[in-house]
Order: sequence, then C-alpha cells, then structure tokens
Amino acid sequence: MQIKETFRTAIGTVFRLLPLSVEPGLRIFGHPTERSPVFVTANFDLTVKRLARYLKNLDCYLLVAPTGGINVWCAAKGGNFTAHSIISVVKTSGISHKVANRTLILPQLAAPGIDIGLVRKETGWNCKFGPVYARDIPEYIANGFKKTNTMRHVKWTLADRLDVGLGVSSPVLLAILVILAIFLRTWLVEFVVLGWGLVLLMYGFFPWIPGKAGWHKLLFLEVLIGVGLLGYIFLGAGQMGYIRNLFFMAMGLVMVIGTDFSGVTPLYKSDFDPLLDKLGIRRIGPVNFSGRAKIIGGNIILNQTKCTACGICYDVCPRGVYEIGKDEHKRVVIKYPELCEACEACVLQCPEGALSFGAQF
Amino acid sequence: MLKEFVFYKQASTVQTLRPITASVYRLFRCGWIATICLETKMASYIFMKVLESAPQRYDKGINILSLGQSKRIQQQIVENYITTDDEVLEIGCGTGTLAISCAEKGASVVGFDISPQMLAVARRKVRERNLTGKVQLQEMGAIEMDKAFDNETFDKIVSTLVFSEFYPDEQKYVLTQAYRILRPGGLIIIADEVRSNSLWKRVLQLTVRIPLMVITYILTQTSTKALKDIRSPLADAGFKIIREKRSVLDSFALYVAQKG
Repeated sequence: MQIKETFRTAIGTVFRLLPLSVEPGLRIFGHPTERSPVFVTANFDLTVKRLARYLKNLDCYLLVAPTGGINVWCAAKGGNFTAHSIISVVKTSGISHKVANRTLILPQLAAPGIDIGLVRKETGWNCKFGPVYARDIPEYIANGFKKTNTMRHVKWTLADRLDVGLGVSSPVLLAILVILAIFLRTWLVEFVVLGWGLVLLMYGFFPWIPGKAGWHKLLFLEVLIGVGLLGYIFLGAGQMGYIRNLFFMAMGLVMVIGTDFSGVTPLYKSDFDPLLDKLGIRRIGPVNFSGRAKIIGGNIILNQTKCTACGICYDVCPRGVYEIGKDEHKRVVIKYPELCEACEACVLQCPEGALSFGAQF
Repeated sequence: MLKEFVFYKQASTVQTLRPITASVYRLFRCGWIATICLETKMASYIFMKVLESAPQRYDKGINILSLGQSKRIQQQIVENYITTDDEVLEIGCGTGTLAISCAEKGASVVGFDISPQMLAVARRKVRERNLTGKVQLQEMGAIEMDKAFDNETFDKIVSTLVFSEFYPDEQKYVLTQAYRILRPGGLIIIADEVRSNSLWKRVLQLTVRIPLMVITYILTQTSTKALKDIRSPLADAGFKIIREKRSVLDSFALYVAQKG
C-alpha cells in the first residue's frame, strides 16, 4: 500500500501534466466534532497528499470534490471544479449530518470556477475562501478563520519555479529528443545538457531576467545569446563550428522553453494569444486566439455605482490588485491594475456584477 | 563531428571572412533544429487549445472509440424501449444525439448535462431539427436531480456513457433519485463501456482499444472509462434488472431495469 502510494506520488510528480485522480469523498483528520471546520479540495492525487500533510495534526473534515483529477486552479479555470463538483460531494458524503455549522472552506484559487450562490441554493451551505497555500491553514484556523494579506497572495518561489519549469518543459523536450534520436543522433547529449540546463537557468533566474512581459524576457535572452555568438565569431580565437552550433541550439531552445513564458507563471497573464493576434494569426483550424486575446488585452473595470464594498474581490484576488479604502465607506479601489493576471475570480465572485473586462482602463 | 571541427580550425586560420560566410551557412543548417523545436512547441500549444473546443467533435470521438457501438446501441434503445408519448429523462445528454432520436420518435425529452459547451452543441442540433418543443435541455449535475424533478414524473430514464464517470457514492445517489422520479413500472436504460470477466477477452479488448484510444484522443480529446459494477447498485436502489445485453467483445453493455 505504502509502496503503491509512493509510486503514484513519483509518477504524479514527473508527469504532472497528466490528471492522476483519487476517489472523491469525505476524509477525516484527527477527532473532529460537529463544530469542526470542513475544507474542500480537488481530487488530484498530489493536491490531496500535500494538503493532508498540513491537516493531519488538526481535527477537521476534508471533502475531496470530483474535478477529473485536475488541480484546484486549473480545474477551476477549465470548468472541471465548479459548483456541481461541490454540490455532488456535499450531498453524497453525508457531511450535513456530521457537523452543525454550514460553512465550507474552499481553496482561494478555486474562486475563478465556483458559483457559490448555486452551492448555497442547492445544498444550504455557505462558501468561504480560505488561504491560497495549504501550509497557511493551521495559522488561518488559529487566527479565527481570518486571512492575512500574505495568505491571499500567490508567490513563486525558487522551488515552485523549478517545479513548474521541469513539469511544463520536459514533455516538449522529450518529444524533440525523440525526433532528434531518429534524425540527428550526433546532437543528443548536447541537447539533453543544454535543454534541461536552460530550463533550470531560465526558471531559476526568472525574476531577474529583464523585461516585463514574457516575450520581452525571451527577446532579451535571444539578443544576449546573439551578441555572445557574434562576439565569439569576431573575437574568439578558436572559431570552432561546434561551439557556434551550440549557440544556435541554445537560441532555439530558449524559444521552446520560453514560449508563453509569462503564461506558465502563476503571477502574470499569458501574452501568447495577444501576440499571435497582433501578428495577424487570429485562428488556426478550430482554435480562436483573438477571443481570449480580448480578455487578456483588456483591463479590469469596476462599476462604482453597483459596488457595495463587500470586499469579496479583495478577498479572492491572488495578486493584490484591489485595496479597501481606509475611510468610513470602505470603498474598493483597483489600486494596482498592472498586477492583474486576468484569472477572472473577482468577476465571477462579485455578487453585484460590478466587475468586467473592458478595452480600456 | 571531429572532421568538421578540424576543417574549421584550418580554414579559419587562413581566411578571416570565411567563418562569417560559414556561420551563415551553418545558421541555415542549424535553423531546422530550431524549426523542429518551435513546431513541436507550437503543435503542443495548439493541441492544448484544441482541447478546449472538444465538444464539437465529441460524438465523432465516441463513435471511433466504441467502433460504432455507441451509435448502434442508442438506435437499439430508441427502437426497443422508447414509445410515442413517453416522457423521457436523459442523464448526461452531452451533445443531444440520443435525446433527439427519442424526440423524433414522438417522446418528450428532458435532458441535462454538466457541460455548458456540450449543451451549446445540443441546443444548436435541437434548433436545426425544429424539436425545441419536444426537447428541454438544462445545465445541471446529476446530483441536483433531488430538487429538480418531482416524484414519479418520467416513464423512461436513459443514460449512455455517463455512469462510468460517476464515483461509487454518486452512482448510488443518482440511482436512488432515478427510482424516485420514475413512474411505477418505469424503465431505466443504461448503456456503458464494461470490462469483460474473461481474461482472453480482456486482452483482446485492450489490443483493440489502446491504439483506438490514442487515435481518438489525438483527434477529439475524448476518452471513456469502463463501468465496474452496476448490477448491485441497481438492485440496492430497488430496481429489477430485466435485461442485460453484452456486445460480442464483451466491451459494451446495455442494462434495462424496472421500477417494481
């Protein structure tokens, strides 16, 4: 049993783009009473395991919702983690007979997908968005179920960056490796070293690569390598064709690894669709790039006449775009629109429909 | 490799312009590595985007994967079990193929599905066939049946390739609800993919299925799971199984059960 779980964790870590699911349902941690908190998560194997690490010393219930084996944020944005998933697990698990309170604590990053009004209507349960990270849950409980600002914001630490970099780039690099193995066997070792080396470097130094948008960073790296290459050709003593080829290969690899460089981060919106749109590539086959480009290219707009200053947008924003005014009206203002990554969590959660994406700010 | 290396070393010592022309030539030769790289990446990105538009190709995908069985079995359901003036509920109507066939035979159909994208396709198909009065579609999950429908309101409940998507607790819940909303003597008809009990048939299934799965997934991003055990949940909910039919390869099954 233990061996099987370790094996699943290993597979899930290496091939994290594939959905690896666990059975949805109720999990019990410690000795919960009828006043214990009820948490909700997605049924991706790694998600449940990581969450369990932080819940095991608490007395609480965990509802694992059916999301097709996809993690919280992706499932919420992709339509796999919706109100229906939560309604299903609440009704079939019989949690309503176990606890007296009627508040589900959802992961904050589920906000882009869950219509909490529908959950309330169908099950009678209220939803509350907890911290972004599972490791903040013990502190969140100790705080009396109140989030601090740091609990609301997504971070991208070195470990996370390398994790994402390897997870996203490896399948593509492996695919190229197969093609090379068939056509150009002489370059295999160089490709492996340079490919995965660049992944680690590019993601490791991501915050320090100059350029705001992802493709600016990419351009900077290409120019850097280009300058290096020219310098090598003009000044280098050896003039080895081999080294020059490595430069070319690096340029290609940087393009591959960095395609949609800001889209893979949890911090910035993708600039790939708007870029294609700008280049005039509006659709390829059934795929429409310009629709998404419009949302990404737009800015978040707050209709102040509709806003009731409930603060839910402030609560669910993973980037700290909003600020609540200090005056007596506690008005919500869009303080840092440039941080917005167009996850649309606030747009969906706003009970008054006061938020939307528009052409200009 | 070594030969090239020596060649450049000698050449570059004599001519100063040579390395530049050579590197332009190299650029073209190496360019194609970069091109392959880029194309692979582009292909994977577009592939991801195609995923999002999958509902339009769902029917085609299911048909390939089931070797046409899903279509055949739906026709059988309509021919053998649906009669004019029946009130039919379809659990998980997807793109509406079965609901439309039932309506064309004269039944009035209520279908629901969890996916708004699938329903958009279904709505378009219903409109094109002028069946808007006969087919009523709504977006909801199967678990929400408890509030959506009154007791004993349907004559038939049909559901194809849906029960295998439910986890055991969900299956139980949905069948209990189905029992509640069926009229006495009403039928529930479930068709789904199953696994054979005999080993050699399973091996045969897998050899047919794995390549099909890959092709189908690449073309339409659709896949299915096999239904494990439906007989005992059906019995637990109070149904009496009146017919069970398995396909030749034992990979597809049709269950018809009656509310006693």
